[in-house]
Amino acid sequence: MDFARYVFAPPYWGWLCRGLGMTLIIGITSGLGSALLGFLVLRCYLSPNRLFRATGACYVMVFRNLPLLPLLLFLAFGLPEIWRQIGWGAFPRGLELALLLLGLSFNTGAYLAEILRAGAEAVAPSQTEAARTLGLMPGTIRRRVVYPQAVRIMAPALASRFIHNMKNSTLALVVPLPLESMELLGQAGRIAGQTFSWAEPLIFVTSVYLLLAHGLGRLLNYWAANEHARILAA
Amino acid sequence: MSVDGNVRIRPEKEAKTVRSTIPRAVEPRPIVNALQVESICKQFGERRVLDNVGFHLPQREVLALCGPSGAGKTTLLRIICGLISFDAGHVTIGNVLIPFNTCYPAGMYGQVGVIFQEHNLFPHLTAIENVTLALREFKRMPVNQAYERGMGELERMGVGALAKRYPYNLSGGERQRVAIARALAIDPLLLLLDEPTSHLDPDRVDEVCDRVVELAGAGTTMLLVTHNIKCARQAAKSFALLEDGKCQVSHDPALLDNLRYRGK
Repeated sequence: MDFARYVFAPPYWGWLCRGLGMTLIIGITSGLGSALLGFLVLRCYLSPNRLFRATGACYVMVFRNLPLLPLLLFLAFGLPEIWRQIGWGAFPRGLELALLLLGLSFNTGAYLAEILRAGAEAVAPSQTEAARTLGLMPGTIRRRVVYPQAVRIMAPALASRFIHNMKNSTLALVVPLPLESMELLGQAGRIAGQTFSWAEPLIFVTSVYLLLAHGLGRLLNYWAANEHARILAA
Repeated sequence: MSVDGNVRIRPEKEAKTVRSTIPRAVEPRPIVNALQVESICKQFGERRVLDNVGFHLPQREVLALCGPSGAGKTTLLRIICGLISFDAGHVTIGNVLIPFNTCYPAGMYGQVGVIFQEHNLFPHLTAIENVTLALREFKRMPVNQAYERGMGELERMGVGALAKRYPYNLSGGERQRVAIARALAIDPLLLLLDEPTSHLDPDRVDEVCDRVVELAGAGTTMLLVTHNIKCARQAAKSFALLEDGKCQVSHDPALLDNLRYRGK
């Protein structure tokens, strides 16, 4: 094992650092995107309009049951091909990262929507009634009473889902990203391609993932435990 | 021209003339009764919970409503504050008439303060945030003004020092007092208290009851639903007994002696 040669030596160390940065960017951006989607779908679920409710249910049905890898492969290779077949010309370049983020957000968003729905249903109806008697409007009740409690009730499940989303960023390996936009696993593959040595970069990269997921897990679990306990104890 | 020589006005013309004499802007009548409940009926399936219930509650007075469990006290309160509909009769809150066949006016939410059996504080907010939420979102008060008002109400209830605590860090009595402060902060026309002491241990019952009596002394209009006869006698001037869906009202506290179930 020669980590000094295959991991810490230039230019490999720089590649790995850039890869770590991209992993964090992909994890955080897709996490935020999926949270936004999750809340939008929750809003659809809680809507009195049947069309909105059906749209939300349809989204969850599709993206929760679709495996992530084929979805990303479709966005990376299938979509540009369809684009050309329709006759819209060459597929715009530089959209690979955006499509990757979209795929990850759509996948995780479907799970988050279901988790948040369960959380919203777990909020006691008496809370909504109390808010109504205080003169709050339905939109304000959702925003200030139901959503905050739903997030806190489901905090442990949400924390797990965000960790899962961060680990899912390794599937970016199948997306033809530019070299500077490749995430950690992609950079490890790049090193292996140049040095024909897989063991050292992979051991290093998996250790980094382990630490990253563990750290994020501890952080989110600390938040989740506090908030969850506060809601349940009251 | 009629036979007697006078000009006869056709009925529709007459009606028009009469209508035109009514001033367009009617001065609001001074509010005498904060709450008037008339001939309220409510049925759940085959079971008639409220049968022609009626009473009135003058401003700055307290009416204690007692009755055995399942008599329909909470149902009546939920009707008054617009959480459920009713099948017949009407409710008048201040000057606003709410008949059974119309929706509860959206503008009336926030005019009736409610204190529930279980405090129903928002567990993700501190005591002061619970009190100021409606001030900021409903009354549109600036943050500082809402904070000062909220602290004032919490101090009035004797829980000012606990403003930064979350509900799970408060005792049952303290939670109920924060709930009273929250309901009072929005300056409601009347306050409905739904058995505020029923979920408290005996030590905490007096703590909350004393505050209710203080509020009554300060002229807060309240409809107090309670099993606590002692508290009812101390706080209220008039008494109502709800049994088998029927309601009897009296100024004589001896009415409560008719209760089949005797509380503490």
